[in-house]
Amino acid sequence: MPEWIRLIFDTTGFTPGWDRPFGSSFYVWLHIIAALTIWAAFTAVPLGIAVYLVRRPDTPFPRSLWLFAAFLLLCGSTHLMNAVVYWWPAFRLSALLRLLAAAASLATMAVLFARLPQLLRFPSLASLNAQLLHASEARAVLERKLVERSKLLQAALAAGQAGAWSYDFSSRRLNRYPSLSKLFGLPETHATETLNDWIARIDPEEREAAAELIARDFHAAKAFTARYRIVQPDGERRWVTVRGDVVADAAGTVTGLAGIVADVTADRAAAIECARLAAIVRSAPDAIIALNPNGVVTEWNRGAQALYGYAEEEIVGSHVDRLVPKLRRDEFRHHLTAALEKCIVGPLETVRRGRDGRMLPIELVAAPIVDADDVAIGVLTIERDISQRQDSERELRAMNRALAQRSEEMEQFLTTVSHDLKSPLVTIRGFAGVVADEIGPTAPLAVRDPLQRIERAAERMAGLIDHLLEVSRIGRTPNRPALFESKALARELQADLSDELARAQITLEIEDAMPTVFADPTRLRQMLENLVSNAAKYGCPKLPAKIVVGGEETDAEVCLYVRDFGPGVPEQFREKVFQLFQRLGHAGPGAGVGLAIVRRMMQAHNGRAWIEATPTGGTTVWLAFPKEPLEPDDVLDGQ
Amino acid sequence: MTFSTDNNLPPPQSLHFLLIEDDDDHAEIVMRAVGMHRMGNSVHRVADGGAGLAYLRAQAHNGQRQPDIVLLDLKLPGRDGHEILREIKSDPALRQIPVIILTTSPAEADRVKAYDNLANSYIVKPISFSGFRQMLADLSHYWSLWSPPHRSDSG
Repeated sequence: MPEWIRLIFDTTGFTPGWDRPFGSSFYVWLHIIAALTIWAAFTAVPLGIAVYLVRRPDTPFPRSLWLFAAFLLLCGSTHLMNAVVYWWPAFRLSALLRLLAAAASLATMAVLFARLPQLLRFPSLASLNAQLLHASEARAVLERKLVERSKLLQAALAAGQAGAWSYDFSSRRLNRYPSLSKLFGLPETHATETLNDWIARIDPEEREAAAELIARDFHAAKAFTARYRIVQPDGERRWVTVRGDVVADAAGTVTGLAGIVADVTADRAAAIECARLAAIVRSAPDAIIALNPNGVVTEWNRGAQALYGYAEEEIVGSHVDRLVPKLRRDEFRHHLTAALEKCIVGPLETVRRGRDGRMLPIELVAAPIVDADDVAIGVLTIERDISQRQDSERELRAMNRALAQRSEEMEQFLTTVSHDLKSPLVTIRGFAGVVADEIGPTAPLAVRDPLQRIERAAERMAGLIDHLLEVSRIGRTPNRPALFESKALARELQADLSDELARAQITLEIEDAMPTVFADPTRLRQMLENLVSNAAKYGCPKLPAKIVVGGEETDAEVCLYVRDFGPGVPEQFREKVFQLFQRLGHAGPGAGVGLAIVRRMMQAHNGRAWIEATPTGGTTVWLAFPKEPLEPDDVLDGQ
Repeated sequence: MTFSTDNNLPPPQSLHFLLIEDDDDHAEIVMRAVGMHRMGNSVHRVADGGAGLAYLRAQAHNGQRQPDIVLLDLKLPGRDGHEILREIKSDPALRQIPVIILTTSPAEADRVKAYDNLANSYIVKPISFSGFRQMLADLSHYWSLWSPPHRSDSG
């Protein structure tokens, strides 16, 4: 123990307090108890301060408070010494403690006055309360805003068919928000999962490559964009775009990534469709030109360049009047207005002027271009060079005229020939008659008979010439075909022939179901009459007899038939009977032109005529009309 | 052919014909048929339509007897039979004269056109000589029934 410490605790020369005159012992004890009580209090307060300081390290001015605690402790120790000296007169220690307490008091006082301005700047408790209240209100506002933002974000994600995600580097877990769950075709809930769960959803075809990119992007911890295809649980494939960016804490440390996944399947399909249309427009041989509502060219394809000679960059931005001859401008403005009112104009024929000034006959169609709200924002015109077509139309017309002329010449020729052929027959028959008349009915049969033969032969020959003329006319006499009920025609025929047939003891039956036929009604009536008359002549050897008119429809043809139950036509003659002047034997009447006429008429209808055996014996003549008329216009014009 | 008088019909009248026919042989046959029943029938024959019209108009102009019947061929040099027919039937002074078309053409178009132009009959040659004569006899008989006053003195 050093000498000076021994000296402090040395009590030599002092006597304990009891030896000093305090009067009665009551006052001594009062003094001792009060001193000890003060000491206890002075010791307890610094202890409380120490506990407080340890528990609340963020208390302002902690060192000042420690000093204050020490000052209190030392003050307390002087009071303790006041009591102790009654038993142990360590006045030196007491003096030292008092000295220390005085020093601590001075230091504390100095520190207190030094800190006072700062302390005074601290807000009062009331103002702190007010501030707190204000802060909590602000916080409530912020929270409301946060909720709103979150709702907005959700709405935006829903509208953009997108879902949100976040990734935390420390937990290595992915947060899948409900919006994203929905996009993945999963129950619309919040979930956490691993990166591998995510990768497992990528289309197997590109999974490996995509996984590498994901690993790279996550490792790099910076903003990224990726695009791949995912497979939903139901097997549907969707194209998605994934965007991510870093999440950092207040200190700027990157703690994770967050971002969105957007479903771009529809965009992709639209883009593909758009590209497809663009390719069609680009490659179309026709001129395809888009105009804005004022008539300024906005699109110009290769077909337009080929037709008019202007390159795209020369014409886009110019008014389309550059192409329209002056006299056609009003007409075109009219079409443009009509198209902007969402009418489809054309196809119609008009004229345009090319780059070289040449007039081009074109066929034009104009249609409105409408936006998503169905508002016309421009006009698309499709234009086609028809000069070649016009040339060939002119050529065709010329050929038709030539043909008509030839046909007329032929008609005249035939008329003349038949007249000239018949004229001598008139003379022969006439004079044979004159001679027969002159010699009178009493002349010898040997003279009268040859004269009669001459007359008959001349008559027969005249008949042949007439028929020949008639056959040659079929197909050149253009009656327009029409669509009508074959049954009505058959009924008409039945009525007209009823007397004749009744006399011949022949019944004409008409089947219940008869098709509608596209034909020349006059010709068809002639044919049916011809066939019925043939059937009556050759198909009814045993009376009373029956003839049936009927019909049926196949996929390609409408067929009519006339059926008898007579001897029938041997198979080897079924074609031959359609030839001119062919008859089976000489038994029956007629010139032998009926079926030839029928066949010619059917040829003129682009149809067929043939003979079949009636199943129960007899002849059935079929007429087949094609269902597709050669000229569709005739259906409209034929009436 | 017989022409009977046992059905109390008046006797047939003599008729005057105008025959417009370019073919001499055909004209000869018609004239023989017309003359055959020898009842004073007369025929004026011309070889083309212009001459036929001129004859008709001259007769009308001179107040002479008009033909009772015109026999008209269709195929004629110059203006054809259709035209002559139209002209006769559009002339108020001539239109009442019956016109019988005598032609080699059996064409429907010719027949329709002739009747459209108010032809009274259409006969396709060759016709049986006896049949034709019968027809003419029937016609003259018909005329006797009609008995126009201007021929009452010429019967």
